Amino acid sequence: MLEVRRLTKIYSIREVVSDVSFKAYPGQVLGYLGPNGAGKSTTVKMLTGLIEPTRGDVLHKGRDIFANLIEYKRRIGYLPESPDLYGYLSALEYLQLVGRLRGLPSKVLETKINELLRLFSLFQQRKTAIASYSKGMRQKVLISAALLHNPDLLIFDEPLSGLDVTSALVFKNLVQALANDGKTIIYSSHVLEVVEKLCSRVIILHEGRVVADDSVSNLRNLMSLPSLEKIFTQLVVPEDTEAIAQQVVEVMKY
Amino acid sequence: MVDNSGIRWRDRSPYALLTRHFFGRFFDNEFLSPGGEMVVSVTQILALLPVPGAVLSLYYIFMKYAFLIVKVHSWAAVDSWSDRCFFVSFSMIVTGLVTLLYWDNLFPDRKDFLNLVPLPLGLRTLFLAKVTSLLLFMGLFSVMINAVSGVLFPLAATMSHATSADSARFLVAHFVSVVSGSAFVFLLLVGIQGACMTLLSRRLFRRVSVIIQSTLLVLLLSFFLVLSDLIVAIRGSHNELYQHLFIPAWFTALYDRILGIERVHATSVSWQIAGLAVAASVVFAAVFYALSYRRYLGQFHDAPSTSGSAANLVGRLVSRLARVLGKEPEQAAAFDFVIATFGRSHRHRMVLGSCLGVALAFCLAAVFILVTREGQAGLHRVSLTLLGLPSILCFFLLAGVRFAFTIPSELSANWIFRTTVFRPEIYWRGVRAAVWTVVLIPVFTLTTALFIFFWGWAGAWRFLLLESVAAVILMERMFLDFPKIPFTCSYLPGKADLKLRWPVYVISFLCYVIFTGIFCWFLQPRPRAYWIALVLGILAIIRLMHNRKQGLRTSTPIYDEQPGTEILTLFSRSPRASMKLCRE
Repeated sequence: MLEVRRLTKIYSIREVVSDVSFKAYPGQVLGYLGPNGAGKSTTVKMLTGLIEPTRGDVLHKGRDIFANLIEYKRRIGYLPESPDLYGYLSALEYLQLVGRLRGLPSKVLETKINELLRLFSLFQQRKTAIASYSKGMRQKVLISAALLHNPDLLIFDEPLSGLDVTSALVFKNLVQALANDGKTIIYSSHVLEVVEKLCSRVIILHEGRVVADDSVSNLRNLMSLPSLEKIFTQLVVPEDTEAIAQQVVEVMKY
Repeated sequence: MVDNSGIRWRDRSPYALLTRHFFGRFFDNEFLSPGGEMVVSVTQILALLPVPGAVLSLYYIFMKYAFLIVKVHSWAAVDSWSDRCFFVSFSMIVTGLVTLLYWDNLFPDRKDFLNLVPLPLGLRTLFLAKVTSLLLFMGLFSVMINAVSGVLFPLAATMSHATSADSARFLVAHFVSVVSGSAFVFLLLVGIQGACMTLLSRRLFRRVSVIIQSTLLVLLLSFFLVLSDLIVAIRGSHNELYQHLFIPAWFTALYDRILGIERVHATSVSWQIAGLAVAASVVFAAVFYALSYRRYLGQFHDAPSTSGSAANLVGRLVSRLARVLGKEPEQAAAFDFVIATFGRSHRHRMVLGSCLGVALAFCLAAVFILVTREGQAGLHRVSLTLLGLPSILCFFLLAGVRFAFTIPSELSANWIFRTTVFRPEIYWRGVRAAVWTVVLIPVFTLTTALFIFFWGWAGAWRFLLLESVAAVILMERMFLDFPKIPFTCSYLPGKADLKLRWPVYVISFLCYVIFTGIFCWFLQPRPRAYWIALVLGILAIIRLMHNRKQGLRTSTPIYDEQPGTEILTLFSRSPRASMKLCRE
């Protein structure tokens, strides 16, 4: 289980994340939503140990992750928002590097890499430099890298970015299968429809604070709204979006 | 080393894996070959490094020491101090230049951070692996620089009059002194970068970094260009301070010490200074590298993005200038885009900074030689050396700008140009205005000040006018057949014409600089010829501008670079495939 207690991050004088608390359980897909600049990515970076919080704790199985960060990193799989990869390596070489650095035995690693690349339809291009890959292909390499060591906790930041329809369908089923396998999954995204379908619980963040934390069905009942999109709009979109759209059309005619 | 499970140590240990990984990343140098073929580029550099030392050693073998040793019958009696000092200096300079080339690879970069920090690895492991790879890489360069000369020169200097023990001793002395000198320069530069990173904010460091690189480049290249004169001057100088300030002399003293000939050929410099300098540079580099390392890694995620703000004074002034210069929107767009890219893209700033560095090095070397030969009076006399300065600056900067234009800033963002209908000839007016702003105006402001200071207004204006016309002709000619929208076309290192056409560039440079100078010199006392030449020059500019305009109207800009046929023929793996591609 991953527990977050009063997590706060302050840059200079700006509080980007304020007192965020939640628990993520094994077998659960936790959706993490919020508009641009809400603090989603900052939270994710704190959850992965990439940056330290200004205040608050992140506990994995009851232990502070920063007390033994290396051990914690062994247990997590992280899919970052932007697919920054070494362009001069091939997918095979990149996954070999990651797997070896994670200490996987070479025979197991080779089998895993080949199978994952085959399943993600990258096997034919496995020896081609990543620099020539499309965004979707890079994303598949990153997904493979995040799953390679069979982690307990998976943190996905905009995982569907760049994936084609088939790969996106595979990935959605994969998330469900991983949850059924007892993995804890934190799924940060803008795509509300996907979050609504995949996540057993959602947290909505607005200006660094949690404004909703419940299952989608509970939120729907509680707010008497038909969809996650409506709930999201109600909670974090203060402007009249239709009026803004109309104004944009007017500006175009200047 | 293989363990019981059959896995090699270097494939198991994170430290070994990371060291290998970081070592491989040195071959991924964006500045050398953005986007690909990095191994080829670095390998080519490595292959070329021993050549100067080898050529010089062969010269010594056949031309100098063979005759000298016959005369004196003892290798120890031959005064080889200047030559040894040259090899030490050369090794130090090349090491410095290579370190500057890899300036951005001395620390783990953003990509390393994003890919490696989420993995279960300690910061200490990352640190040690990076340091090890750095030392290995510089060691490789150091060995390559001195590989041939390190063997040939000791042989040349000892020839047949030395025993095997003497030759071996010479060999050891040569390697120890050149490697110590190189290590000193490398560690000093690492320490300087570390100190800047420790003391400055990341944003300020990014800005200052280019200035430091360019300044050090100027110093090293100037030093190289005047090296022979400098060694002779130091050797003949009785001023102990000069001898002590000349850093290669420290390591040449170490050379003397190992050879055991310090009493015969010694300058006043003690070999102990070399030891102290290396020790101090080790401490300096270690302290600041370690101090800056943690801070640097933390900065990648610990602060929101701080890309350069356009809203500074220079940005506002340039934007205002764009509006004054260009009434057409495409023109203003081009001007702003070119200026903003040069102002904010690190890679493009580096290209321009390097060209400026090389040009300034040539200028400084020329002035140094003039002053050492003629004293201060040489500066107040109209000379080809001084007349050549604006030509040198213009040539290198315009060539740099042209090269920078071929490197895409954000290739994936070029769709905006591909999907927008605009008039290329109007767009290029803005580009031309930007080139004026970046190159011609600063160069001629500086030259005007310099010429007026030394020769007075009456003596300077004629030269300035003629040099300006020559510079504009050069600019127009350089961009006459340039078919791209700056910074938007894909870059192919295989396209790098430099591999084949560098003699053309060298000859063009020499012709331009020498003929411009001679032309100015020749025309200055002949008013009628001067004015005719000026009018002809202006007509040439108009003609070139017209041709360019016509060319732009009839051609469409290219966004996907194709390798030249000569490149395909020479560098393709399959000759048959090359021929087929050529025919296509």
